[in-house]
Amino acid sequence: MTAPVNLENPKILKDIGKIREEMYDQFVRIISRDEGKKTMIFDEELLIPLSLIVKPEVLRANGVEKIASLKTPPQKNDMKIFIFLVRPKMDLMLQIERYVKFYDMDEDQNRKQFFVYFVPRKTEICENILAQRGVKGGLVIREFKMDIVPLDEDLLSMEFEESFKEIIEGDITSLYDIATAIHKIQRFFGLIPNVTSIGKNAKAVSEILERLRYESIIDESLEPKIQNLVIIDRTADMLTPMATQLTYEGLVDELFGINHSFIDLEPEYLGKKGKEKEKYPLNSNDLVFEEIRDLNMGEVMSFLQNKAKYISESYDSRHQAKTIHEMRDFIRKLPTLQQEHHSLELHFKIAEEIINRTLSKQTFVSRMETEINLLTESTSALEMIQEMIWREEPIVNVLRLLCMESIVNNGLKPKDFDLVRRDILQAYGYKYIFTLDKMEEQHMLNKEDPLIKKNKKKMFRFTFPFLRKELNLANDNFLETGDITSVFSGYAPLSIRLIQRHLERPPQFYNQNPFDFLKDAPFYFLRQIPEKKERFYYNLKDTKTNPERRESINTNINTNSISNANLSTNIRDNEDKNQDFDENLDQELNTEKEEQQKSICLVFFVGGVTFAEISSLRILSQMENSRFEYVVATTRLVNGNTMLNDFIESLND
Amino acid sequence: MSLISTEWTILSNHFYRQQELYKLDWDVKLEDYILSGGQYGGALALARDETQFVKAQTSMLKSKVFIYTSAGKLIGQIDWMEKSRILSMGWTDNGRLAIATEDGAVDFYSVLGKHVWTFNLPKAFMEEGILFVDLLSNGLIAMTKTFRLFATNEFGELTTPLFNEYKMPKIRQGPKCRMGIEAKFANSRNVEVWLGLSDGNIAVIDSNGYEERDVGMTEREHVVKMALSSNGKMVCLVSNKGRFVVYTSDLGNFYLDFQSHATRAPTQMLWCSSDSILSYWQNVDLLLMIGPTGESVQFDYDGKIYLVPEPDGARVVSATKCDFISVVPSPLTDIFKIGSASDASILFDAIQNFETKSAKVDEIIRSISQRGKLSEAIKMCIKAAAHEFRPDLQRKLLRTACFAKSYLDFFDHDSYADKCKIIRVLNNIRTYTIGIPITYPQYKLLGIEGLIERLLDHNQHLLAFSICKSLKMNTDQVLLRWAAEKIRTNEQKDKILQAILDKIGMESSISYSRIAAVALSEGKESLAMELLNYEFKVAHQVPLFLRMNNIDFALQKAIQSGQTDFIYLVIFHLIDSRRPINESLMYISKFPLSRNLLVAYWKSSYAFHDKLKILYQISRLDHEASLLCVLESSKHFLIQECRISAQNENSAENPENIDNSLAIGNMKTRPRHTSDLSTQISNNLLDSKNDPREDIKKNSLDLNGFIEDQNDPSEFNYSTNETFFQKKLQTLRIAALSFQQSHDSFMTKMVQDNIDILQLQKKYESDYRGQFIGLTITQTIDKVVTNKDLKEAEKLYKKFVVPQKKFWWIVIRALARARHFSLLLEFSKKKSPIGYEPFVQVCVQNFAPQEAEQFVDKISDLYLRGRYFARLGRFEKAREIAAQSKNQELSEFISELESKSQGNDGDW
Repeated sequence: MTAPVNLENPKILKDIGKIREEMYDQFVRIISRDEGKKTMIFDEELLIPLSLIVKPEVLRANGVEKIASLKTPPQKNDMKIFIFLVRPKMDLMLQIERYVKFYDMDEDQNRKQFFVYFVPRKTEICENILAQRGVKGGLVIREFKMDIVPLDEDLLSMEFEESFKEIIEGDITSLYDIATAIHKIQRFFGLIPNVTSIGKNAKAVSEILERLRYESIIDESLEPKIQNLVIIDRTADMLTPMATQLTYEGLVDELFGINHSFIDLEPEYLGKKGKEKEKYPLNSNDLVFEEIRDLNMGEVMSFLQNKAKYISESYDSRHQAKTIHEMRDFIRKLPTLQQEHHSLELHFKIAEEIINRTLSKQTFVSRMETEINLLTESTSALEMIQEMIWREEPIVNVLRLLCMESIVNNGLKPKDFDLVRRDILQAYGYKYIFTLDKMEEQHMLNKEDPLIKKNKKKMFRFTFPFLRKELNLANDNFLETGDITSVFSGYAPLSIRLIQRHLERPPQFYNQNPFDFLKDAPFYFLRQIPEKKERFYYNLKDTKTNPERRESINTNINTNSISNANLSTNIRDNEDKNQDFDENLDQELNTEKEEQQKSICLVFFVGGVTFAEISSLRILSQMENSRFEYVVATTRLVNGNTMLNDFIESLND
Repeated sequence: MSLISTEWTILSNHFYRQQELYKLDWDVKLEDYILSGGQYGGALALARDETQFVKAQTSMLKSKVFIYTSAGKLIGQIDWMEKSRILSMGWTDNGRLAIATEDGAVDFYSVLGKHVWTFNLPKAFMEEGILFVDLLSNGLIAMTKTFRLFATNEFGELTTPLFNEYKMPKIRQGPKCRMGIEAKFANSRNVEVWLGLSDGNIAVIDSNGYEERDVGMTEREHVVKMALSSNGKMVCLVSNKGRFVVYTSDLGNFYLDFQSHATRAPTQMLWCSSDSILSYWQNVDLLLMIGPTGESVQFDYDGKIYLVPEPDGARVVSATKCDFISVVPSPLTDIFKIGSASDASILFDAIQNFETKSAKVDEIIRSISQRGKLSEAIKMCIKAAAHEFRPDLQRKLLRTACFAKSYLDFFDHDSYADKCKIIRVLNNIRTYTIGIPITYPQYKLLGIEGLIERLLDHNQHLLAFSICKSLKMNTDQVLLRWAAEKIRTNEQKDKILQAILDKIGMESSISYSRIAAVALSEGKESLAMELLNYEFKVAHQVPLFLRMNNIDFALQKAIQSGQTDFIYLVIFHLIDSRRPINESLMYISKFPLSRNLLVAYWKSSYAFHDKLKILYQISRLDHEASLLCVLESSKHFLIQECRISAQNENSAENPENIDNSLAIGNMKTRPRHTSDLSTQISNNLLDSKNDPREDIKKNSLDLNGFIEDQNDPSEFNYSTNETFFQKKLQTLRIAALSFQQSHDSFMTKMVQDNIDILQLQKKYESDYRGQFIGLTITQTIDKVVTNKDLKEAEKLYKKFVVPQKKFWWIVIRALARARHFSLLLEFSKKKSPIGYEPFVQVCVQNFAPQEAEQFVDKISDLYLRGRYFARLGRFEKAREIAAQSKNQELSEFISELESKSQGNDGDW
């Protein structure tokens, strides 16, 4: 396994490496705590994220002699200490039971010790299950707070495989973990003064986050290094991940699959022999990759050619080097040059393969054309979809286009709606009933709204074309303008435009959706005021002195809880609010004038983010007139395929 | 020179001291009582000694157990009027008074005499009677009158401990004496029991077995008293003739044989730390200390005394005073021993002289300092101060250290300050008002937390709080205990609340829910509610609301907290409660979040689906309920269903037969599948005989469903297992019916289609070869075509309304793949809705270029026709067409292709 990204000299956020260090220390404490030989039993999902924090040597150095997956049946061994590392999921508890009972029945009298570490936290229900199954007594239950892992200099991920799947199934357990992860980031970088959320799950996260501030103590005197936090719900923009990513990194993900920042490559790509695929880390350590990851695929080849030219020129420069000084200069550059050379070769090979599989395939090209026309001009792609079904293309490809069609054109005509669905069921099997149903539930596949159909002009505000115009989502001229529309060859990700809109023009709305089209996506604006204690007392006085209020809390602890009351005191009345706003605006304008320094904005994607969206934010950061540098955090990295897989029941039939 | 050493007694080169701790002005005649004292300066419990005769008027005393501090202050009384006779009294490690009584109960009391909890000895004691019960510091040993021996080593809190019965051979006569050895000193890690047998041997019994040891005694002179030294290494045995024998605790080495003048067994005997033995003969008022080499010394007391063992000595309680007898700690002997020439001693004397204005002091200190021994001497003085009880002497010693340390460049001043603080704390605790005469070594053993705990047990909250503050310790525990005590008072609710708020406030990290929990267990529910309002971790309010059975609040708070496991907590509480199931589900369905969570959980296993359907019914989620039926038709759930119903039927007879029954097909259909679904659900709700609560209680957290995932589903096959196949159809029919009832025509049709295709597939499996079940409609048509049955394919096309173009695609692809080119040609004779290019494509894809040519001719567009010919390598034909159509572009295309000479097998 290869080394994770080097975070010693991060460009944007200093100390981002500390998050990893803290987890490393905690992990080493876990495994070095007890003397003796140990077996570690993993929830497989955690293995790769863990490898981003510790190297395998560390395990061995601390007496971990055997590593097993929780899914495999237990095997006899003579070790005394067993360490389980699991997500708090109910079915995994039964696996732990199986292991514990297996080793308890061991004939030798050696007492075994079992430690269960929940990642990132233990839950009441899991402990209950262990207790009910009669194994809790013999276990030591603890927590390992591996919640958010830096994947790159500007990218943090919780690597929650199933978070989005759970959310769409109604289980929002992960929202609390997201809030605690953000809270942890605040512990390192100070309390973030401005918090916005877009979408209902994002709103829930920001509310938990605000409450966490009261529930656990953090050092609020720390100078905030991050000025803005935008929490955005994936369900607020299901369109973007469905579109085929056209950046280099995005296409690598779509075609090769990037897992936890690694890709599996045939050995010949790396200039090696053998058959086993190898893991190669894709992050900013790779200098060539760093330059091309955000480029539109159309530009990548010419860029690589230029780069090749530059490198060969640099090699040649040694012939011109006459003085010792010049020679020394060249030698100093040599290691970087060689590294770049290797990486250039690799990316040439990958880029070639991508072009073979995409741009030189007629089916791909015409699908791309349909997709882009659909996104930028709302041309129906229905015919293409049907054809794809008939050709029995992979179902995820069909569903992606179908989902775009439905969102962009405000639903399908009732006749088409039934037709396409029947087509899909006939071609791919009836088990996709559940997939289609869930997509409908998430507004990804809809019947045309009769109201809009009836009165197209009046209802224009409720349509995607309105949004496209309002948020400037389409741009034909993307290559020349250097706009973020390049990531989708002409379409700017809706999610990113929403974030941009919010940051550039702070909203005049609270709890209210500015775009009628986005059904469940209210903007929610929250100002964190640093004086925590006063506010708490304020609330207390409130309950003490005002009998009516106390009454209401006692008898009707409704949604108006103590913490909510806090929030409401925060948002007092309109006047105050507006005043706050103006002040804030002035402040921000002033700082801009004085320092000319970009402030840092953390964007948290609840439910996943695509590489194309990250690229868009990087492009935005680099723009001259941008006031922000973006750092991205997410539950998991996704693309249309992985997202739709969450909608597909894995039932054997 | 201090005279302190003159008070010491020397015994075999060791100094011993007898310190008076307190004068007792209690009015207690010790002769009438049995007394038990706790370790670490613990309290004294006194109960009527029922072997003594009592004058009639004092019989009132009989009804009480008194608890005094070592300073003779009465702090607790336990009414003993209606309780049975006390067999044994003792103090546990955590400062509780344990009393074992004749009726087989062991009661625990706090140091203030408040009952904490009770457990009963094993049944055997009820049936056979109790011979003896001996309480240990965290366990007990007991024997029935038929000589069955039991022991336990963990009292725990509020749970009846596990008893081990030790195997031993039949003995005819009861043991003459017994001793329980704490688990920490025993090899077996269980309580070890020693019995002094009537033949003079010692029986050593533990969980591993029984062993008799000869200790040089006979039937006439047998052991009547045994004691283990406080470090567990030595054991002292006393015979009925007053002979003392000391062995190592494994009886391996013999150390001492001492014959006392008393020639009879002492009343009390114990170890004074680990190197001397104290024994007391009541009838002659003799307290004798026997040293390691058999020397002895006598202490004088009038009237009856009681000896209380301590880790570093023994307390002696008499009617008028409480003394402490111990070895003199080495720092004190070092300094105060007569003729001591140690540096510390010299230093101490020098500074005493300085206070009497002698100038030699500087010289002395410098000379010690030059030898590099000053720091050590200072430390010795500080240590001595810690070991000393008398404040004046402490002060002198500390002043010595303080003065001398200014001569040092480097000295850890903090450790000096810390020691001073500790000494202050200990002095405060030893006062008459508190009355805990704890020594410094005892304090080291108990720890500061343990000490604070003791103070809190004595209700000394203020002192405990001040100590915490002065030692910069967290005061949470103290405040919590104080609040709990406050709540237990009879004051008005508002006053209590205000007092707690004033004292604890909002800054502390104390969780108000813990305080509220106390209020709740004291039965003050409204106070608990008010306190809960101040808990700022919303989730922590949930368990308490549940305890109050305030489901509304609990659920609301859980939802507000966003922590799903607390929501689950409420949900499972609701379902496990004695409420009717539909009422519980009503609560849960009030909030989408809780409902969705339960749905997500219940969906996963078939065992919960009955209840899930009720939940859907209550929430009016018809669509979801119907979908669930479809879900149940998947293999995954069908297997679960089969197993569960097989289990139900076979559980009594033959549990191994589950899979067999499935294969044979004797599985009965459950009634609900035959009847209308919704009536079935309502029946379920109304049916009082078949109480669904029982079922749910069993299953709410029962994860049977998950376990079955481990089974290999491939053993169930629709094609070979008819029952299984019918089951699937049946389930789907229910789903279709259910969709029909909710007027969802599309879904009804889809499910119906699914049923139809399955039935057809079953038929095809007998008509043609190969497996059909499980294929999609497209694949089915394909496979039928592959079997050359175009007619049947046509039927399918019409039945399932397959789009025409799609049908054509399926057919030609299948024919070409199966290389039925003649059929393909025949099929092409109908007018193709997709043109003839696809024909060419499928032929080429299946490596049949010659067959492809036939279809190129059918392409109407000349340009395309030309292109295809060219790509097939038939350039002359292509050029012919180009000439015919005079298409320049085409000609160019052809020449370009030709020049490459190799056919392009790229995209077709």
